[in-house]
Amino acid sequence: MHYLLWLDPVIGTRIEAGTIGPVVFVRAHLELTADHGLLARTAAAGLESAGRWVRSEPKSVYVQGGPKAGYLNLTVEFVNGACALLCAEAAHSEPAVQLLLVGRNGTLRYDDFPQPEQLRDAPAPAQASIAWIEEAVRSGKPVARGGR
Amino acid sequence: MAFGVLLVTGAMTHQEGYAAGFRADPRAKVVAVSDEKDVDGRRAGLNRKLAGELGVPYIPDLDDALGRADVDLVSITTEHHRQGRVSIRCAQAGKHVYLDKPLAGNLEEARELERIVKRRGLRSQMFTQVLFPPAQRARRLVASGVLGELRAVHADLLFAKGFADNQPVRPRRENATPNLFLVPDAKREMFNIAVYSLALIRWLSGRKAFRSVRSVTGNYFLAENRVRDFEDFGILAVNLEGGLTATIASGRTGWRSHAGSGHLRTKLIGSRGNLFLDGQAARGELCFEGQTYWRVPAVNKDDPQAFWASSDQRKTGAPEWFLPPLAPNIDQSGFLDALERGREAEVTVSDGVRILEALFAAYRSASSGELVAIS
Repeated sequence: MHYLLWLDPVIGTRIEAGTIGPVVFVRAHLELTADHGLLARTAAAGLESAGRWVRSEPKSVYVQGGPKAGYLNLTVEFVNGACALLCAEAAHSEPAVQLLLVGRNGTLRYDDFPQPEQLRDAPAPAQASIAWIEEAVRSGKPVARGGR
Repeated sequence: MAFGVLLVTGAMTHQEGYAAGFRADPRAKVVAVSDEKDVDGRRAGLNRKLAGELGVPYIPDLDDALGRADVDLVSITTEHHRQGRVSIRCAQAGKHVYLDKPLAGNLEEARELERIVKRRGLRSQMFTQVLFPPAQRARRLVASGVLGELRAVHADLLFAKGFADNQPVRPRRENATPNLFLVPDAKREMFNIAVYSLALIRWLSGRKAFRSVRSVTGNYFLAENRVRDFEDFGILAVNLEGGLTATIASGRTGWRSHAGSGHLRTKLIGSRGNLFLDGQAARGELCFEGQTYWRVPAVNKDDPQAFWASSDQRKTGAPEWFLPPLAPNIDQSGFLDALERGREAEVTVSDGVRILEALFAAYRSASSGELVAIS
């Protein structure tokens, strides 16, 4: 199981407990691969997790960077009004994750350094999520859900 | 001889801190408090209050105060919609200007101020956090070369103050051209907080120009902001010259959102390495028997979101954090250094104008949902 598949319910369980209230903002730095070709896949997996955590669907995605730059920054507006800044960054040394979820009644911070075996498989987001991000990279503009 | 400092606007503004900073530096002497002569009774009373606390006169007519020969510089902390015109009057009188952030409530006045400051050869500084230890550390790390070429900066600043209520999360319809940013019980928080991160990014990058911005704003936490239709949260994705990019999260997220003053997080992405910097990493932490969960201050009707130091609103909780005490005058002494040595300050009026251009473009982006060019 890829690390992100493991992380999604770990965080989701904490949200379900209700202590921080509904999540309105997700900040994620996912520094999980040195392979620039896997950044879109990593970002798409992050986008899908963020949607589950804020309990909504992305409405618009704007992407900065690209495989050549070594990072993808996603600025996401969700249908319910929540938002996210999701960054898939090429790892230079050890893999690292920094998460900050802002709920209406509190925040959840999670920092981790995944084990190599947790990163052996590639993340497996829906192809549509990857295609959406790749289109946003190509266009250089915010891309709405209907526009992908 | 000490620089004579005129304070324009008094208590229940950031002047409380700035005045303390100037007074803590022997190179400065606060000589008076003043303001526009037609300010309302509440503001005039608060101005007199600070003057009384400092033991200096309150001069109700700004023009009279600016006519004093013992005034070398003016520290200006009015509401943003007044700050442009007030600063212009001070600069026209030949005074150096130390300004609260952001610079003004509209670009026309901010640009006019920039022209006057340049034409008259005045020194200027806008208050930011670039002289504070976390920003200084970030710049040392960038300068060390350990990251290689700087490619992206991510700067989050969330203030853990105010009382979050329980309204459902809803999409916000943003105003593309806001003109009011601060009232006694609410502030536009993207305007007032993202300004710090924009200043940091511009300063870290060696004043690279902002090119375009995508922004999203929200009303997630604060009833006072919802009533005023002021955002309490905003995110920005900024493109700078040379391909540098940045993202920013800014907002006032409620007392219980952080054990200290709030999340202050920076991530630097370079061609050779990445660095995550927790601006609250330097701290003490107390854990002891008998701690209870959060104890937040009682609601202060005059300052419900704890904007100002004089309302003395602090929380305690488990664990309890305490941060290294900062010298009260870091930023003010930075301006006095610039005056004394005849050099530009770290963040000048010109920097403030470029930052204001980015903020106004961010409102247009949040309103339209589009990427907006910054001119």
